[in-house]
Amino acid sequence: MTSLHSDQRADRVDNSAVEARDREWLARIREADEPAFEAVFHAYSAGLYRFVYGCVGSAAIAEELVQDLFFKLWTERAGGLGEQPLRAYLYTVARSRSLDYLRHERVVAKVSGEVANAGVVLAMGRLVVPADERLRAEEANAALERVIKELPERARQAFTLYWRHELRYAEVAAVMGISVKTVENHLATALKILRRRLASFYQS
Amino acid sequence: MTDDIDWQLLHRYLAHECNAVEVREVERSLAADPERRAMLRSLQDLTERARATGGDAPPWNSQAQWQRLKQLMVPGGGERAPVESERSPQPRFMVGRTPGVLPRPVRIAAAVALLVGSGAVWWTLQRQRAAAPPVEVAVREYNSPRGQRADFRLPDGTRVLLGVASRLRVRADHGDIRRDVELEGAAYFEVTHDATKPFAVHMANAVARDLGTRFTARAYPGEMAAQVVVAEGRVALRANNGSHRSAGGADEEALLEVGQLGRVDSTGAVSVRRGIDLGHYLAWTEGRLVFKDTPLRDALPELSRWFDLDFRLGDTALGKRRLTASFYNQPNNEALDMLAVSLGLRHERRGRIVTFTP
Repeated sequence: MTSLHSDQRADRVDNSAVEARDREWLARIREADEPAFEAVFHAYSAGLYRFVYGCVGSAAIAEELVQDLFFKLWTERAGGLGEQPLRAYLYTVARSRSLDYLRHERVVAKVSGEVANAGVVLAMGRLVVPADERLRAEEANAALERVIKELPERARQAFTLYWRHELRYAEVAAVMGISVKTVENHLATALKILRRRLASFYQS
Repeated sequence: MTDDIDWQLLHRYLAHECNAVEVREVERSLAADPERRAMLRSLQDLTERARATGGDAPPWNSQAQWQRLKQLMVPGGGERAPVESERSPQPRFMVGRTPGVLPRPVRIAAAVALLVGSGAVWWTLQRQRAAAPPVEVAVREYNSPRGQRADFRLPDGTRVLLGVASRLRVRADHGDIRRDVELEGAAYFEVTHDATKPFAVHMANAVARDLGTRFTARAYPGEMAAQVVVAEGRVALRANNGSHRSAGGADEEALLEVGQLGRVDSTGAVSVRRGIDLGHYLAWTEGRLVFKDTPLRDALPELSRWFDLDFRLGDTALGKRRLTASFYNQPNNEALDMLAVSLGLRHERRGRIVTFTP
């Protein structure tokens, strides 16, 4: 069996190029260089928005929090960063603002929504998978989305930060304020639950 | 099969974070077990799917969002359309205004700062408790700058409309046992009723206690008296520092009802005026600035805060002139013309300074 390991590393290896680019942008933002700030905005705002949306569940609030985040980044000329790399900093702030927002929200409503969803996913899990490939892919995506939303919150954050936002283990740890070991725990939990809940899509 | 799986190792393998030894270990166990190989393929599919799909957030139009943000980056602020809040108690933080246009009822702003562990001392105005050492409590501070108001809800669901150039401090544990807030400036409250947790607004020299109501409280620094106007329900108003005591030794507390205005002056004396024009006193909550026969001297600070300009008089005698005017949504230039006309004066503007002359 051929090793699947090394040939897909390319997308992660690019990281050093990304980090160099980010450092350059950061230096320019500190000099109030607006085009550099705009470049950062276009590079990261969409991802941050999706991440915040995943945490707070509201597009309007996610939009607001992201706008505030960038506004502050600009007005402070990235003063809040210190030595931190840009991407980790952005996600850390996004996460902490999401948590601040949630702390003053009626979380009960969100939880009961999740409980309601659980029933739907189980039902989907037992569906007979149709032969049509495209339909199958759509259903698989929808099911994946549901199960991701229902993961325990920290596992969900770690998993989406890693796979959707391209953060590395150390960055996820920094953003979530936990150790790399704990990140590994969360990722393992996520993987285990995803596999179990989506097993029906993979039965041959 | 699933019992002895090292999921952490498996995730590292999927993430290409394994060292050479681990890679060999994983591939050895895969080679030996077709079920494991199938599972690995499904996990690869799963993580690829997760990577490829961004979640189900509504699309993010980066260009449009950039334009929104850009306008705020201009000195003096730009405009950001208010976010349609959903039907649940959520804070609305909206920033920015178009230069030269009056704040509209829905175009309002707040900057929220969380003061935690920075030595923020709560109860700075509570002189009665001077005996006890000040307690450090985490405090959330809502600020509205000059020219802008703010609209938000407190953790207990109470709706607050913060006036121009005002500040409201709320304890982080608001609603746990008590609901005390500290106000400098003006605010309108729609208080969620809870008799077990009294809601009180502390101002520099007055305390207004809610008894299930909607009311405004106002105590700008530099004003002679704190003012409370009741729109619905009742409010108990008393002086803050206990220096004014009636013969009986108890703090004098006035019970205000709808259509009544309570004042606490600098000596701590409490007075009540009945039969006031509620619309006049609540106009600002609807984005209207209203003056009725107000001496110009008194109107100037209010105009300055509302428009975020610096109004001055070329001749102090002009301070006696009376102003009757109502502003709502006009661009600054128009408003200034209106002002000058209604006063029978000329005005000259240099930057943010507007001077009235005969």
